[in-house]
Amino acid sequence: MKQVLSIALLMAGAVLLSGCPKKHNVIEPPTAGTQVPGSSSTTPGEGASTSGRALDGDAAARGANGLAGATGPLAKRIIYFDFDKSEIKPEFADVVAAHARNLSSHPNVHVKLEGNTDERGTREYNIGLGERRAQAVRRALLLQGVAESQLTTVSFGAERPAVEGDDEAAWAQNRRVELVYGP
Amino acid sequence: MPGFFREHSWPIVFSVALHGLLAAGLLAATLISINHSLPTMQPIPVDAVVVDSQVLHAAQRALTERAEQEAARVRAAADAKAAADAAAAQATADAQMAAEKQRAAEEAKSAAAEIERTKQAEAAKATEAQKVAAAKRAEDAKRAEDAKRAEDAKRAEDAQRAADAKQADDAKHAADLKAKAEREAELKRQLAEEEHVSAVEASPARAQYIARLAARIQNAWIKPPSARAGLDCIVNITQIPGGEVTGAKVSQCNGDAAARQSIENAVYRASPLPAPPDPALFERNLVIHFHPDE
Amino acid sequence: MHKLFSCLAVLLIWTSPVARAGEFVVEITKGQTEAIPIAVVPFASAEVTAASFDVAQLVSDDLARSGRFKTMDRKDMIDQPHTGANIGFDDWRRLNNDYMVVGSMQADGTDHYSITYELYNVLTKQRLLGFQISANRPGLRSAGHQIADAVFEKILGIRGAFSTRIAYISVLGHLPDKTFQLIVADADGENPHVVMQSHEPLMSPSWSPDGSSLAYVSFEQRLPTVYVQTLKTGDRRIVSSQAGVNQAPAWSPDGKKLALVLSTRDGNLDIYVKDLATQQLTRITDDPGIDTEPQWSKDGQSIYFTSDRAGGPQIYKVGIRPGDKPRRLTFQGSYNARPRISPDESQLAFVTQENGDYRIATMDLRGRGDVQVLTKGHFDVSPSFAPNGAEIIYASRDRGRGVLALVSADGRVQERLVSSEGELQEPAWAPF
Repeated sequence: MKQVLSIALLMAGAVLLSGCPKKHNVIEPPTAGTQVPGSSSTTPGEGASTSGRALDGDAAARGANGLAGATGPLAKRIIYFDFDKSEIKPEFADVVAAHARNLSSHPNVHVKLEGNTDERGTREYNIGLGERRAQAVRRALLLQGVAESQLTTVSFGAERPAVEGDDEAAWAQNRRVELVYGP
Repeated sequence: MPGFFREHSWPIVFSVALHGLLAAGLLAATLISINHSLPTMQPIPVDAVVVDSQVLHAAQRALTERAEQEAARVRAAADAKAAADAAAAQATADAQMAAEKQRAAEEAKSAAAEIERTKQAEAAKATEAQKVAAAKRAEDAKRAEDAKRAEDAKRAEDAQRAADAKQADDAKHAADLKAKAEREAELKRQLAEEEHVSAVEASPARAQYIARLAARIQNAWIKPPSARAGLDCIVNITQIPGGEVTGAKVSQCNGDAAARQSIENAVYRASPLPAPPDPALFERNLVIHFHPDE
Repeated sequence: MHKLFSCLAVLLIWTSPVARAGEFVVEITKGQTEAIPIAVVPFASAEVTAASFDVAQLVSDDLARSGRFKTMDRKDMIDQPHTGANIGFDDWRRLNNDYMVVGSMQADGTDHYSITYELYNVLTKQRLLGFQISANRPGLRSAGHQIADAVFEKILGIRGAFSTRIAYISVLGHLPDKTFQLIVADADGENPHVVMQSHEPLMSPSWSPDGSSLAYVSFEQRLPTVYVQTLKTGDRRIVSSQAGVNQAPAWSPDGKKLALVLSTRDGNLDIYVKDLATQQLTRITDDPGIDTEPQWSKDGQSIYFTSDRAGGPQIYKVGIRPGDKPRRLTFQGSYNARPRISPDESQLAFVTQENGDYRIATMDLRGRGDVQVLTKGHFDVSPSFAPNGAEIIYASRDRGRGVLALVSADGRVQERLVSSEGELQEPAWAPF
């Protein structure tokens, strides 16, 4: 009897443990519709951070989140920053404005703001810098009427460079915030 | 059967004796070789030679008898020859003695001349040395004067600073310190009197020698991490002329094993130590005091 | 009081051997910090097959890599003794060796080796060590490291770290298909084992004080999450996965708490301490700037961290008691980050930026706070002390690739340690 009980406990424990990671209240990852196909928290293979990514994806999804037929500023999903800075440069003001208008007119649409840095400096401090940039975009969007519930920030620091290289040309492409539309 | 024995008694005895000796000899050889089979420094062939001669000795007795007779004859002839040689030798010896006497006389003459020459050379050297010494003395005096001037200036500066600092102290403090300094100075004076201070030892040459030794040992001392400021160790070393360090002993030391090993190694790495500028300064026993600044 | 002093002075002068009349006293106030010359003679191995292992070479490589020893090249050895009885000490002295190691190895039985070694001081001709070690084939590397440890400690008086491990991140492949690996290897970079692999970034490996577990950050859930993984079993659990940032785990010296970086809703990064048993969270810093990269003090009462509250990143120290105010430690230059203390807390290693180059520097915590820049690269980051405090491992870039490198704690010796096809980053040296 004792043996059966302990085995049962072990199995229950295993079941519980296997469920553990999913118990936490994390933001659901974006669905395959807006990402490169095949990406979710369980399957490998994604991670693309090229500037072309924002133009991929389903037309249907685009329609649902207001990006259908997007041209002009709305087609741009990446905001670039100067070294060691998190202020949004004037040339990106209308990109932010366009997305703010889009989001406030589609209150069910959610966007993830992914902050990144170039590779210089210490990695963990760069996570902070990336977060600061994402927050700068978030604040700008909030100020322009977007609801808090529509926005999430994530920082990848220097861990997800868009372009590999040890020169300013590469670094300039990596200091960015990407607007990743979700459901 | 008995007749046989009687007839050949001598050969039989001789043969038995020979065989007995052979047996004895072999036995002896075996015993010796057993004793020498354990690791030793002796090579085996040396023993084999001894054994062989023992065996051969008995067989050769007859031969030696004949040899002895021959030797006696030779000796007689040699005696005669020796007598003749002795007479000749005596004659040569006499001649040699005469020649030596003459040589001695000549040497005495040249020695006297040599002494005269040496005296003159030494006199010249002495005057030269006096000149050098005088020059050195002048130089030393100048250097001492410069040093003294610099020292005085520094002392004055120091005194000034100390005086400024001391203004806050009690008068009693100053008086006590003064008394203490006087007592220490008295002690130092007593110690100095007891030292065998020769003119050479008090000179800058000694300081130079010590500086050379210090530089050599400092270059040779590889400090482990534990040999930091605060380390205070003494190594007593002995050296032979030429500077080779023949002994080193760590006496007082507050360092760990690694530090002790490093200072002992240092004096050996520094060997041979540099020679003193003046050979008279050479010291067999040196005290090396390790106390790093950092 | 002064009378007593002068009496003592008298006694000292009379009894001090230094001042004995007539003796020559040479005062030595400086020494050298150069590498100690040592010869590790190849071990005799008559019965050992070619498949077996050159233990003497490993010992020699270990000692040389520490930067403290100058090892003799084998081709310069005119003689190869295997025991002390066969050493012609004068010859070896003439070749400028202070120490030498001799030994032999034999196979007794299948896959069982017996190694005998001796350490000699060539100057005094004394034998300092003599031991025998047994090992099977896979254990020969470990036996070699043990010998190097024994020799190191005997000569230098500090424990050798040749038998320890390192953890680091390796990034393979290219965008958009990268693989991130968390690897544990021997301190010399050999025997790498992948303990965790992901297609999302991994960061910040941190060893528990007992060396049994690693805390790290994984983005496998598309968010930085802090995990703790037990190495022996591979079991892992999430320690922190709040919304926003969960970052930079650092174990307290008693292994019961983790310092972490968490973000508030508006993205403000601050340092917290989480009790691993009770899950209780205590906030340590509260400042609009970025506060990150925590590291505990040796007594577990303070935390060193990076903060840019003054404009750019600098290093601060704060007590964990509520109300303690952070104290700034670095004042030279505009970028000082990523503090790591030596095991005895005598030194602080960190990343400093000079003229656009990121370099490893140390600060003397016991003296006057002198700062010394140790490395010369462009991207030298992520310093981690060896558990004996003698060396620092760090991440560097060599010809465009991420590699791991070593520098001695006094900056005298540097060398590259590990490079592979992947990009290597964020090394962490395990405790003893």
